[in-house]
Amino acid sequence: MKKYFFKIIIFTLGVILINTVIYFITDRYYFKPYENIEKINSNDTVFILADSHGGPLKQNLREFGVYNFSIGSDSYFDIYRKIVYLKKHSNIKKVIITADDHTLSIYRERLNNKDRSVHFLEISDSDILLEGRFSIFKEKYFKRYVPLFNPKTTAIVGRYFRSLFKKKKNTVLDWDTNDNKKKESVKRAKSQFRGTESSTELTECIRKTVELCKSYDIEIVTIKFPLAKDYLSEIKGRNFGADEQFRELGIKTYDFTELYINHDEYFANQDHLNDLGGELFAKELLKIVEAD
Amino acid sequence: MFFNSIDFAIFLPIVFIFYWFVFQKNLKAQNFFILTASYIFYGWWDWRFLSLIFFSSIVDYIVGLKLAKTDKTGHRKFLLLTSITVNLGFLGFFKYYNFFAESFADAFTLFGTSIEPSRLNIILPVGISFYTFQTLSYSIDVYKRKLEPTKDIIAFFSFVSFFPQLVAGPIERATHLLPQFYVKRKFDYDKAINGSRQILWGLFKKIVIADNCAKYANLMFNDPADKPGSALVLGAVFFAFQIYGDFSGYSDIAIGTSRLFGFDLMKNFSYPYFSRDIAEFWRRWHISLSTWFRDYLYIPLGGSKGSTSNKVRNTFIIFIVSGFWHGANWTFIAWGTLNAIYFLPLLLSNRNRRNIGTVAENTIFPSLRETLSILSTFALTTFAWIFFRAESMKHAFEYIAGIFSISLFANPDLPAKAYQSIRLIILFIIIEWIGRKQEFAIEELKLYNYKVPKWIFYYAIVMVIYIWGNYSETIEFIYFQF
Repeated sequence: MKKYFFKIIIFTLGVILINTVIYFITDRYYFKPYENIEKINSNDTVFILADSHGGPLKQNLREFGVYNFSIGSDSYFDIYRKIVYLKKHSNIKKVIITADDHTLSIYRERLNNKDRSVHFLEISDSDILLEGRFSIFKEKYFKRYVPLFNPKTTAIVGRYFRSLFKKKKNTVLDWDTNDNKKKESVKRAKSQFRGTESSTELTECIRKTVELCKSYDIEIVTIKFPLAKDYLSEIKGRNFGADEQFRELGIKTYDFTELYINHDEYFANQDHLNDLGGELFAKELLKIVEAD
Repeated sequence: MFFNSIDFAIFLPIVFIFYWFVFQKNLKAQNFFILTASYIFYGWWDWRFLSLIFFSSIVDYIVGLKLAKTDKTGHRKFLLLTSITVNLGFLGFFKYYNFFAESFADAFTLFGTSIEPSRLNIILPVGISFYTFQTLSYSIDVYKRKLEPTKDIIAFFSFVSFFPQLVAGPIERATHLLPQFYVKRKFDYDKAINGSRQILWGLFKKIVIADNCAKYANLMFNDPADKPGSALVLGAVFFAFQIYGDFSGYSDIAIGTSRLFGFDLMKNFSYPYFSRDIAEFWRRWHISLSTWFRDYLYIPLGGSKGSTSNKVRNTFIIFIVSGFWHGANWTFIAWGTLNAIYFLPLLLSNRNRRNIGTVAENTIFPSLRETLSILSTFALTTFAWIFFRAESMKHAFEYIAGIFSISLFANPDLPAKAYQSIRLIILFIIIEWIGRKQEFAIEELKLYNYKVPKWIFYYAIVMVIYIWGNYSETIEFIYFQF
């Protein structure tokens, strides 16, 4: 028995060593950047909750009490958790949530930030989240401190080691020529609109989010972000229907998809605004905040 | 809880430590702890399932005791029938009710009458097909006086619910597993080391091979109309490796885990894809189920003895029942029937037992004849898997029609990452080929004689699982649904 335990301990120590290396890489390049948010203060009452589409808005509306809490790949699961967090840590009165065409795609069930947004939760939130305490514990601690068990970390570690040995290869085409715009739009549309069915889990999460906001007395507004002309024509009206889901629950959606349809100069790529576009679009959002 | 989950990674060491350090003092304590751990393991899915396994266990326990007290044939038959009715009744209700209701309604439409089947909204308890057959083997063996009934209720309940093999086998015979609960287990170093290696290998098969293949098998099967024939062929091959990696990987983890607790379970897979004919394949694939059907159905029906028509009938019965055991769908029946059709010519020409030993036993490479036999058997098996994987007969025929089209010779246009999975499959085949004489491929390797290479090898497997594994918790073991 001693001999076996000795060997198991050696094996486990080796695994712990590997895990530690992975932990430091993922903590620095994956978890920390998600958690290091600008401090929320008592003036922030309106929160923008979106995925990478919300990124270019930066904190341009902070002086008006609007805090941008959007992070790339955030899903409705993550948005729900952030609202739970904001209720405890801010004077939240209103949320502006994304209702873009792709947000109910099934791939978002897998490609989201659940392993990171759990940082904003406490184990005791399990009752509000309707998730078991053990499942929150696993996500919050186990997946973070034992990244060997977190499948998402493989790509991060791989990218890190590749970057040590060779220069990063830019696989994204420059958004300058018409040809590249077309190509990137086709590629993006393909990845965002795989399949035709929308996610039932995410749809359910929308329903839960609306209920949660009602119970917290938080007003919800949803928006659809501006898209570039090539991309809009490429997606050919495909929409997984987040706007429709919100509408059925009595929530208004402001559709800005065609706002800059003839202004490619406001875009960094087919579906993301650049800094200038972000700044201009922030002004449009301010109108909503002020009007309501 | 799944073997490839965080829950199990926490559960197993805890149970192991308590078992050997707290409950090792006497047999009753060991068995009681195994029973408790097994019920926690099973109840982790849904605690309501526990009532079923409890009821099934208590019925067979009482039937066993009653059988010991009576010699009256009629009474004994009644008791056996009670056990069979209860166990198959549960199975029939939970697994087959909706199938029969829908098939019955479909049959009426043939006569121009349309009726709405009354479906039940019930969930299939995990592993019900496995533990039902295990506990049935006890009643049948006691009835046949092959086994003394046990009075030790804890030992019996532990035998039925033994967590490593509870939900997906190997389906143990009471004559083999139950007596192991009568003897206090002592820690055996070699057994534990062997079991640990088998667990590691099982995880590799499941997470690296099966779950990667699953992505591309699903891609092809989900939308076959859009894919060229060549891609559909590869989709079927991916599924063949998915199901093998998945199920044999599960069995490896189950057997390895049992060894950690001092138990020996029967072998469930023996390199089936190196089989030279279908008869050999069925001696090497899901051995615990094949032998169960052989012992409790095929042989009582007369087996391969008697007239040709009897042989044909018995072969079809065993393969169709085996197909139906897998699920309540016509696709499984078609899969069973197809295998019966493959098997019959061998049986009728008395060639079903010509390939008994290990292929290329004394050589490194197989002969050309052996290679062709292996490839043709694999092709037949893979073709049958299409029915197994398809969601309906229509889906299966669409898939097959897609294969036999002009696009069979077109570029399969696979995603770039699929080629990585193909490379992993090739690596897997090479390792399996090298280790084909052993119980599992990495059981004994020459490098185990050298400390450093041995440890490098273990960590290499861990890293391969981490880097190339598709270990999302959502990918369940295929056989859990059966």
